[in-house]
Amino acid sequence: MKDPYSVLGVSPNASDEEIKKAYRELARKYHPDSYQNNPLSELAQEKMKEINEAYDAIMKAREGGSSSGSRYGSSGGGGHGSSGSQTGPFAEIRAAINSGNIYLAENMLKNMANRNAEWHFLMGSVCYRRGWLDDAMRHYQTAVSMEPGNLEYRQALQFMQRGGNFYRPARYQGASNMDACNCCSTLIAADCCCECMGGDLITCC
Amino acid sequence: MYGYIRPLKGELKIKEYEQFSAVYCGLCHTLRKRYGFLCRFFVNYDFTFLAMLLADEDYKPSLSYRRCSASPFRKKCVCETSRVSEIAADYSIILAYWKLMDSLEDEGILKKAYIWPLSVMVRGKYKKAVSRHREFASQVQGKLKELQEYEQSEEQSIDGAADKFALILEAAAQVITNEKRRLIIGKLLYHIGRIIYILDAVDDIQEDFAAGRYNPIIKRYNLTSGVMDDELKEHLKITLHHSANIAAADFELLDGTAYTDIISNILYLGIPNTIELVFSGKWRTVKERLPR
Repeated sequence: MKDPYSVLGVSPNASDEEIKKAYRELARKYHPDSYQNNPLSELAQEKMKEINEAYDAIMKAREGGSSSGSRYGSSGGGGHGSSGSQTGPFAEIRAAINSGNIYLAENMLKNMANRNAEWHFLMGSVCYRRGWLDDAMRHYQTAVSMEPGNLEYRQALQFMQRGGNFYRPARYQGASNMDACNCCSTLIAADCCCECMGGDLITCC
Repeated sequence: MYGYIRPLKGELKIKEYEQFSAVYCGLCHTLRKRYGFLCRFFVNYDFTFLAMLLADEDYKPSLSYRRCSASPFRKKCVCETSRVSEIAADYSIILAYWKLMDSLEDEGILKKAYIWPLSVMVRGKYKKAVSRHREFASQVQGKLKELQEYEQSEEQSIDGAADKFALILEAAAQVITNEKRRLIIGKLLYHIGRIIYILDAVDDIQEDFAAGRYNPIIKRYNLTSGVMDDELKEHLKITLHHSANIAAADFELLDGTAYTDIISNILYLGIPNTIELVFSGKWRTVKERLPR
């Protein structure tokens, strides 16, 4: 196993606070949200696992450090094709997308005559995974217009309209197009997510 | 190639800027040494980016100070020719040749008059580069043929057209021996290729419309003039920023690179800045000014 301190990029003399800070920064960087439906999402999950293990190892070695308190969950990352119909041809296609078999999913979709909202949603996911972002957005738009009440489709479209949901290192944040208000609301949303998973990002709320 | 992939200079540290210049000058010297004096004019930022991306953690360039025809009096710090700069130089020649061939088909008689002798001159260099990278060269040729067929087909998707060009850049990663690095850099380069292709279409839209040439955006939106409305601009900007975001997220997965800070600058700041400049129409006045 790699030296846990070098995994977190801190010196072995670093204080608990510094280690927590470095851990949080890395956990945000490799958070599944940044790798939704990305062909490299498995590599991001590996990184996340490595960071979690390094953090746990350091905290365990330093008595008194609570290791589970502020740890991030590393589940997720599967992306869009995770819920929805459980049976039928679409379920098979969802399974193919989730396992990364894009060509199979695309072929199955192309052979279907019934092109309903779910068809467009899944075609959008296939396009997204290939990096065809404009086509992905078009299919999501069609899915939403055919079935405006579906939350999954709406979320996928909103994700595209935001240009994704990505981490930015501190050094490059000032020049981003994210304003202060947007930044706070994102943080609060992230906090809610963490709390759902049993963690906490903003400790006071 | 196009020069869209460059850092935001004002946000580089001086140390980083010097490193970047040394890679750029190193690529130029490599081109001259390998392909002759005239080929050094094919040096550009996109391939400087490629050279930096191919350099892994263990890459330690040896530096020297040299004069050149662009800087005849003051010696400049240059990265000595290395495997990384050689690959970037060879790929520059291969793509420059095909770009010339493409212009030869598209342009009017006046431009053809000077592109033709240039393409004859480059053909020999191109063959030399091909002999060094047969696999890559045949992929470039294959994808460009597919692109040409796609342009003439009924298909309207912007991504479908951009895909062919993006796959050429993805193929540039095949020289990397480490499997994980090859995968990550390949996916990253796919999005860089997508950005370059679509930005070029945005940049050329008025000329393409006037000349009646193929342009993926005109075709996709059935534009009746060479001007895009604000809504369309906004839509395209978002999709390009999204690609830049994915490229940056992919880059974060690499374990060690020699130029992490400069590449991060390019991905997080440089490309977004270029996108804004191209859409605001300021790119053409800015792009020639940047070098040193």
